Amino acid sequence: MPKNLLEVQNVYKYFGGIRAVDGVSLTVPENSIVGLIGPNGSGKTTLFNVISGYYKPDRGRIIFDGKDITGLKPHEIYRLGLVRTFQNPRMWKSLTVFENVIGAARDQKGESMVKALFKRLWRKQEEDYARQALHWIDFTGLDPVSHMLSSSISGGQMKLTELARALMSNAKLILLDEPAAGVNPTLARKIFDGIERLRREYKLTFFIIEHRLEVLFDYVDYVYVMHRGRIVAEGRPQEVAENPIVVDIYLGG
Amino acid sequence: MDLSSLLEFILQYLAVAGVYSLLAISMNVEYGWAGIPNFGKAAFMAVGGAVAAVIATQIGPMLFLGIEGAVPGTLEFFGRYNGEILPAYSQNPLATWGVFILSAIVGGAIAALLGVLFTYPAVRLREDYLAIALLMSAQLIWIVLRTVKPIMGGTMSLILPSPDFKCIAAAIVGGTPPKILVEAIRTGFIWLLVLGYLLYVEKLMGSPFGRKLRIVRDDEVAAEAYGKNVVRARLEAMVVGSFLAGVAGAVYALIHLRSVNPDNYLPDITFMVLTMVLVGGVGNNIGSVVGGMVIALVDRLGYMIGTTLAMSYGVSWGGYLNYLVYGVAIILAIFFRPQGLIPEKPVKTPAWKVYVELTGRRPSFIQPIWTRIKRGVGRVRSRAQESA
Repeated sequence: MPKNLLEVQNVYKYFGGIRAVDGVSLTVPENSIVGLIGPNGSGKTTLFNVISGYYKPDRGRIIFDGKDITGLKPHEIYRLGLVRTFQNPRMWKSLTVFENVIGAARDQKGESMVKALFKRLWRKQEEDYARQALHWIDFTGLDPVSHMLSSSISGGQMKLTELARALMSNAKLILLDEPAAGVNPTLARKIFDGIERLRREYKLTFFIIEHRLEVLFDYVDYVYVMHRGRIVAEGRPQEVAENPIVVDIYLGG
Repeated sequence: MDLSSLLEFILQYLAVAGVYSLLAISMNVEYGWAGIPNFGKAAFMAVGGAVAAVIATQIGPMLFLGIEGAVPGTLEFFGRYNGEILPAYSQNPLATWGVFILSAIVGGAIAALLGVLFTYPAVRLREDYLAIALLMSAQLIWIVLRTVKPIMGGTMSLILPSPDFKCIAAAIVGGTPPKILVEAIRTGFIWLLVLGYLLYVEKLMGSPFGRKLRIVRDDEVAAEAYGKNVVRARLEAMVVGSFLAGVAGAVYALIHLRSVNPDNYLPDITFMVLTMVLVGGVGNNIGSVVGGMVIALVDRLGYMIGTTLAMSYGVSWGGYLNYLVYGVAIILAIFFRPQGLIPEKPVKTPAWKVYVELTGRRPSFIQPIWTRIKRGVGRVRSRAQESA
């Protein structure tokens, strides 16, 4: 039994009368790929926002890697090794793709306003990070556009840049919010192949929101289904696919 | 116009352009690099001026002249200051430099502190709210300076002892130096500071720190997700920008105007500096200097036309013509060249060297300037040949 990297314990998040997350508990085991599905407005992204620190939960706890991260700020959670991507890619527009990737590196010495003046204190780290960034750029196939401004690349390439940034952060757990939304089926499969490879070769753990179930179900170990802020079903992909509740939610609305 | 008055005009223009460039560079740190619209820039300059006034009148005499200081706003102030302290300064060039250096350091430090203080309550808010908060803070400082007389003596202009450039000029030519040479050295000193500002900011920003500020500016939500402390980054930019503005304020008061008056620090100067950054190129430090030079030209010409109109035709509004030009300049810049005269370049850290080594690709923005110029010239030449 592998240990649980992420534990969400009975988390609630209400916005006024809207119960966006209404008592969710779930676990993500180490080195696994876990999916989170559900119709639009079921609270998936809100749950991601709560886990990654953008919203404070009204109740409940979030345990990451044995530490209670409830109420920590996003940049603090990031430093512990949990990173998230966005449904709509959020590029740093005036930076090149290469800079977008290297900029996500963790604990950069040269980011201090004092140390920045002394190049010898951070040059070596910066060069190492540059090599690492180029490695992930190669991995994600962004090499041909790496010198271009991130505002001038295609939507699919932006998604890949998001992924490369997340990889650059050296995180243990990556939350992906619809990594294959809006990209063509071939690229969608390619992205998930990459995720599978990352899990195998780099021992990473993924927690993925995805609407394209036909792709997602081929890759995930376990799936949670959310509806109106609650987990209504969970299990292995084929179990979930056959679960009448899930079929009802997706087909019956 | 004869030669010497033309020379005088040029020197005056260059001095104004230098001071404006200092301010524009400091504004560019905040607005260009970190995306903080600092509508309170005048206040941070005012701090430099206020510190200069306090040091010149109260602390400097004790520290550098060995006589008792005088507190502005008191009854015996003008008698003592004009009759005793200012003459003593004019006898003691070293003391005037002491006043300047101390004012620059203390003024910069206090401005940096205030930068954090004013920004902190609103730092999490959207840019426009932050801008309003800073604008109000600046007005607050202005009111304090007008009412608390012991700082700059209230609403009257206070003459300050300018650092002595005459002795430097005398050391060069010997005897009594011509006035124009003294002014030239004064202007040269201001530009030396501009060069210092440029070197400092270029060095500071050509690093992961500069990249972090841009990241926070471009998308703060993603910046937080990828480990950037947005609040801290903004405050850091305010510390650097306000420090530079505080020092520039001391330069403005002691070297350029050689006097202080709270009304020198009204919001119009803030927006003039913002125009420089917008025209010169948001996020480009050299662009800020270019913007400073352009706006200083408008400023000087506006002043000349204004005085001519007033003297020859009795028109009183001529002095405000340059504000019209600033407005038009902002609109034109935003419509036709939003990136400014010299657009922003990617942050140049050693990472690009590794990039070139490993990919074998050399993006144009990391090529040395002469290569780019040569290519530009070649392009123009081939186009000329085609048309011929």
